[in-house]
Amino acid sequence: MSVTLETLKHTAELARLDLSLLPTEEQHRLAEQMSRILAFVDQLSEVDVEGEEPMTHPIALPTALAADVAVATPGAAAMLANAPARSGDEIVVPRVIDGGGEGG
Amino acid sequence: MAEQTLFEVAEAVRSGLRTAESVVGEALARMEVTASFGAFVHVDRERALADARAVDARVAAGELLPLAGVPVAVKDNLCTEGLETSCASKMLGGFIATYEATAVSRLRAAGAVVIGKTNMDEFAMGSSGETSVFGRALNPWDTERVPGGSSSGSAVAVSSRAVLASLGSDTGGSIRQPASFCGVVGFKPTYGRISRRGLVAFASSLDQIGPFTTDVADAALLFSVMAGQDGGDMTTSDAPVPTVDELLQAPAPLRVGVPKEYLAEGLDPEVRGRLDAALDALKAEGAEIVEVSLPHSKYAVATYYILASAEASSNLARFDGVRYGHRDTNATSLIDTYRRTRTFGFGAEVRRRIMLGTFVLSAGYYDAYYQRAQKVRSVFVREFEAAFRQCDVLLTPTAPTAAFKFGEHGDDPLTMYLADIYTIPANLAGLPAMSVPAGLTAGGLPVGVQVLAAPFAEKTLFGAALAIERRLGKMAAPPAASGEKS
Repeated sequence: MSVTLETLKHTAELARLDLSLLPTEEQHRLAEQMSRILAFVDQLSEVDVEGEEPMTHPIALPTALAADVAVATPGAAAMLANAPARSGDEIVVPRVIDGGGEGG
Repeated sequence: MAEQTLFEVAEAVRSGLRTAESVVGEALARMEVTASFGAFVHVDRERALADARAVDARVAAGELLPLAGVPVAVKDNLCTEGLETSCASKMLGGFIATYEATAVSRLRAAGAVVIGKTNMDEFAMGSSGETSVFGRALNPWDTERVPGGSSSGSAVAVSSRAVLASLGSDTGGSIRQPASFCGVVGFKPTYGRISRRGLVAFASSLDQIGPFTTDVADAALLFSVMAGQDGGDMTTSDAPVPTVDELLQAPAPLRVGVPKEYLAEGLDPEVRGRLDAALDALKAEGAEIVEVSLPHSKYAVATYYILASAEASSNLARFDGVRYGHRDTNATSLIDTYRRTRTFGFGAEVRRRIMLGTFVLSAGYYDAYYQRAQKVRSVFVREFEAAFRQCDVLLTPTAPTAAFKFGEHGDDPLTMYLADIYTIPANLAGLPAMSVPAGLTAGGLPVGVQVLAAPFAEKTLFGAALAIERRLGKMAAPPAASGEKS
C-alpha cells in the first residue's frame, strides 16, 4: 500500500513523533520508504495462515515465579541522578494542566 | 597475547604466571593501537585496572575463576554499572545504569574484567554499524568495508585482537553477520538461555545475548558461564546448561541438513564455495549431508520486519525525556516534550522502524500485518521442527556476501534488510545459531558459515562447529591487526 502524508502524520502522532519538525524532503522520503517496505511485506498475503495461531514467543516457557525474598534495589538517589531536570527528590517536567494548552 | 585462548589467559592468571592487572593493561594498550577501527565508544581505564586488581586479590585468596583476568568488551546496549550505556544514540547520551546486566555480572563473577563499551548501530537497528551516533566502526580486514551490524564494535574489538572476547546482542543476526564479516566466531544461543535483564530491549521475542570469540572453544566457555535461569528475566529457561567440558567433547554430527532454499539466487559464488568447504569438512568427520526444505524461507525478512518493528515501537515508547536520557528543552508542554525529544533524540533508521511498527499495530492494519506475521511465524517454527527430524544440525551461509563497502546499499533500507536473510529465521524460531569462520574469498575477505540446531541442542551445535574448525583451521587475525599501520 501507499503511505500518504496524512497516514504518516497520524502514525507519527500515535508514536509521539512530530515529523513537521523535520525538513519536508525528509517527510516525503519517509513516506516513500514506508510505502516500499509495506509493498515488500505485503508478500505475506500469499501465505496460507488458515488455522495458524499467532505466535508471541518462539519457545514455550512456563510462567516463572520470582522467589519471595527481599532484594536490594539501587535506591532513589541513583535513579534520580539520570533525570534531565529535577528539584530535590522530584523530576521536573513542563506544565501539564494549563501551560501548554494540549494536556498530556 | 593475540593468539592465546581464553583458557590460557585465565590459567596464566590463576597460576600466578601473570596478574590480571598486567593482562588488562596490555588489552588497554592494544585498544589504543587499534583505536582507528572505531570499536570502542566508552572506556574507563582506571576502573578497568582497579577491577583487575580486585580479581588479583580474589585469585590470591584462592578463588578458582574460569575467566580470571580475562578482558571483555561489552556492546553499548548492555547495562554496566558506573560506565555509560548509550545504545550509540543521542537519546541515551550520558546515561549511567543503576544496575548491571545479568550476563555481564556473571562474567565478572567468573573473573572477567570489562574494559569498555563497543560501538553499534543505534538501538541495535542496522546491519552495517553505520547508524551509530558515534560514527562507523571499520572492518579490520579492509577499512573501506563495513564490519557488519548491529554489534559492529564487538566484532571489530575481537577481530582486531584488542580483546579475545566480547558480548553482543542478536535480534535478526546482529552477532552472526558481523562475526562472518570480521572473521570471528559469533554465537546466538537458544531463546531463553541467557538472561536479558539489563539488555536495552529492541524486540523482546527475538533478542538474545551472545559472545564473540576467536575460536569455538572460547565461545563454549563464555556461554557456559552466562547461561542459566535468572530471576531478573522471566523468559529464561530452567533447562540444564551443558558444562564447558560437555560442549567441547561433543561429537561431530551424524546428519547435516542443507536447506535447498538457501542456495537460491542472491548467494555469492565465493560464499557458496566456503559453504561447500565446510560441508566437506563435516563429511570428512563422518557426517552424512542431507537436503532439507524450508519452503517459507523467502518470507522470513518480511515477517521479521513487521514483528521486530512492532515490538521496537512498543519497547522504545519508554524514551520520553522525563526520567533519563535526552530531553528537548524547547518544548512548552509535556506532550510537546515527548514529541520533540523523540523526534530529535532518535536517528532516521530508529524513527523509520518506530513508524513502521506503530503503523502495523494501528487500528485497521493490526490483523493484516502484525497478526498475520505472527501466524506466519508459527509456520516457520513447524518447518524447522520438521527439518530437525531429518538431521542433527543445519548448515547455511551466514550472509549472502562477504563484507560490503560503505555506502554500497545507498539510500534503500530494503536492500540492507536483505543482508539478514539467512540469520533472521533462527530468531523467529528461537534456535541456537553460530557463525564459524570458513576461510577467505579470493580478495582476502573472511566468510562465515552458520550452524543451526534445535532449541536447547547447543551441545549438538558445538559438535558441528568444532568439527568445521578442526578441519578448516582457526581463522588468523587480519593483517592490519598487527597494529603497525593503525
